[in-house]
Amino acid sequence: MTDGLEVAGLTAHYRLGPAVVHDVTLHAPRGCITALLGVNGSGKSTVIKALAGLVPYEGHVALDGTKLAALAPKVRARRLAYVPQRTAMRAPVRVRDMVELGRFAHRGALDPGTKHDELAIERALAEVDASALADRRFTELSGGEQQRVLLARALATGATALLLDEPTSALDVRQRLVFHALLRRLAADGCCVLLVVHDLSEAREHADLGVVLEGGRVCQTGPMPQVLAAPRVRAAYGVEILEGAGLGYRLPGAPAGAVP
Amino acid sequence: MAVDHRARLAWVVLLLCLSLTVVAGLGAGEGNLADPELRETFLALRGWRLANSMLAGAALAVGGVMVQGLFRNPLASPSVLGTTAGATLGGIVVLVAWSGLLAGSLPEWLPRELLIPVGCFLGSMGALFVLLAITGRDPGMVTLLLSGFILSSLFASLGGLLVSVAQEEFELGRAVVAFTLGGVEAKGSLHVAASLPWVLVGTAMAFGWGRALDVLLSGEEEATTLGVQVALVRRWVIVWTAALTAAAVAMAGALSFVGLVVPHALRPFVGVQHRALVPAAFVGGGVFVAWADVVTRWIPTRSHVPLGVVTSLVGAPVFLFLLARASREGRAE
Repeated sequence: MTDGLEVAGLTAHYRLGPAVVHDVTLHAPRGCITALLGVNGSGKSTVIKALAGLVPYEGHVALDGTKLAALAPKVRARRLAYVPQRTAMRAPVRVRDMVELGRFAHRGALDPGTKHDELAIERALAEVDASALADRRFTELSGGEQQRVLLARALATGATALLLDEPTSALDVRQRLVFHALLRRLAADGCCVLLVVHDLSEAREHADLGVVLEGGRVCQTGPMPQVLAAPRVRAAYGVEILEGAGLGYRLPGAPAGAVP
Repeated sequence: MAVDHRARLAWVVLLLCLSLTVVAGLGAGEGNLADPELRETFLALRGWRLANSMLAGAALAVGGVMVQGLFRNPLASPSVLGTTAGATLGGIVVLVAWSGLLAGSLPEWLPRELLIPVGCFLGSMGALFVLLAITGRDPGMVTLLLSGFILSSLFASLGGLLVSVAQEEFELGRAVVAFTLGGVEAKGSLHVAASLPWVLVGTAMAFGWGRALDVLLSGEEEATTLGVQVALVRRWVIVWTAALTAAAVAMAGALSFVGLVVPHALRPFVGVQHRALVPAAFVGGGVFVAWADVVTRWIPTRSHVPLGVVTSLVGAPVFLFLLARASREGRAE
């Protein structure tokens, strides 16, 4: 049995449209952060949405050896969580209630909340350092805080495999570092983390493995340094990659050279 | 103040208002309750009137909570979306069919008061399905409101056509016009019996689907990934919103804005979560429409003031206020 998320021959298309991604094969193991890369329109978000069950697909998708298509919606939600680029939530819910939505898959329609639910919510909030935000309204939070709360909601499902669709695209540098530090901690705890990243340098800094898509097909996979060195990736992006160029960042107090 | 404290305060106020409503509903009117011969008759008439108005208000308010959750839009309500107009048309169709096509073919023990909610139900459900087919699942505010307005106009026109046809026959014409104007003054135990199961089961279902509707506030995609079977929830929410609207229209006619005003007034106190909002809307809706009926009895006019006039006089300004606020916040596209 392969641990983590295993995808083979995935072809996905939106309703009535032609296939957007073709024959995608990738492996996102537990304990690692795997970045899904590619230029605009390469099919990154479609792959993530197909894996999240939002876009119909053909092919083999399994988590720790169990085919996802065979799982009931609530069972699936307890095993695999999705963090969108931006939430569609506009109602003024409290942060705690927002995270509680992650417990939906654990409850029947009329079940009262249990101590176990309470604990899971508290733990998820603590995990993303958002306990202090619990009584604030979600819609009043900053972009970075909202993204952390969305991650907490995903963790409250109890899932240990996370799909994230460009979770840091609207965040400033510091919020980005904080968010990636959280993902690193989760991966170190054995989570499977697959995230769409737009920026190659962000992927280089924070991901262990990379999967590059070009025109809806995988053009390169492997450890990040190897992916970035591949001529096909440079060709896919249409740029020269200058090693060591640009600014580097780290959170205050984090050791130099360490992953934040 | 924390939401929990505000919710408790809201419930105290709601229950106080409910008590006052019962006193006012039984006390208001022209008849003299001090007359020992007529007292019981007056109390019975007013009691059934009160029961009809409260149940109609409760049904519309809970229906409003459900469609607002379904469309993720605080401006949605059965009257704004054309559901009420669809139910009214369904009721008129039953009345006309009763006198025409169905005349003599139905058993005597089946009064038309029991069939009207069925017609209203089919009309309101049809209206919601047509609306969804036009607007899609996540429409913008303008699309939703315009579609609801056009559907309301269409159903009202079709209803008007049937009213004209019905007036060829005096008794039928009278029944259809009385149904169209609505009101609870001539409603009794049979109307309550015909609609009560729909209201109670519909409210229970709204409560049961509450958690799924909470998750749906995040949008259909996020809800799907959190384990909600969105298509199933949507289907049942439509069915039970239609049932609640139908029950309300069968009891009190086409009352506007109840499903908009009541949830809007309650949300700041009980929060946006549906399992808190549904029971509060049930009581709040009942109180609102019952008081509107009491007000119609207080207005000193020679002819009777329709109940829908009072609910619209309160509801329309609230609707305009919400629309203006949404427009200012850039959410009205």
